[in-house]
Amino acid sequence: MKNKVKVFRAMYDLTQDTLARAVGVTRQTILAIEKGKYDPSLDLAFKISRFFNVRIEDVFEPGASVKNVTLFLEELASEKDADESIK
Amino acid sequence: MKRNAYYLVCGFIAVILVGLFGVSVLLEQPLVISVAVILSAVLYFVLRKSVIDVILDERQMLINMKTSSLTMKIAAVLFLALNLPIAVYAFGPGFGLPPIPHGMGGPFMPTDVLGPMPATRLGTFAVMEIILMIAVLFIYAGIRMYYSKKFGGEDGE
Repeated sequence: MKNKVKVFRAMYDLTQDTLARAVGVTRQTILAIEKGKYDPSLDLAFKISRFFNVRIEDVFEPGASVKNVTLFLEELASEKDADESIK
Repeated sequence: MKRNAYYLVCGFIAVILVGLFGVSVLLEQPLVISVAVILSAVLYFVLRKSVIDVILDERQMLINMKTSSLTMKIAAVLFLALNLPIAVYAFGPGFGLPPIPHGMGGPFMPTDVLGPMPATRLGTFAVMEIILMIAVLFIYAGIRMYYSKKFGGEDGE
């Protein structure tokens, strides 16, 4: 999962330690998140984004492409139609 | 209690345990060291709860969980690899198997030594168990280092 924690931290001129204390984790955890080696829990992701007064998707974005439910249902329906036409 | 004070108390308890082990040997009372180990484990646990300057966040919990899980698996394999041969060695004749003469691919000891386990051999097994325990502690440290590196957390700003 990609994130912009480092960018937001730089915007407010915060150290990793300050951010870590603000959201209740260790500095190493903030470092690991920034390096992309650790994906935070939903709770921590919300805490970080709320701390910067932005939406969660402004800070974190998923690595893999996520399907939209409408597109997914359309795909499912087209697969079903294809199966029925074969029969 | 501060974390450093906790480590000092732990070291002190460990020294007392070593002393109690000596007392246990001198008095020939294995119960002394046995009870002391259990009580010190409870004491460690209670003291750990009173440490105030420890931040255990989700990443550390994940590392702890993964490290403990892998260490448990490795320890189980090592434990069985060491103890099953010991059980065979100690109770082999007791399983009702006829003793095979030494040197014919049979037991690794002369048949006259087999039978009731001598006390010194029992002590050797106990020492082997302690060595295994210490090895597991080193394995735990190694695995912990591996997961700490895997989940980042190194270097500074």
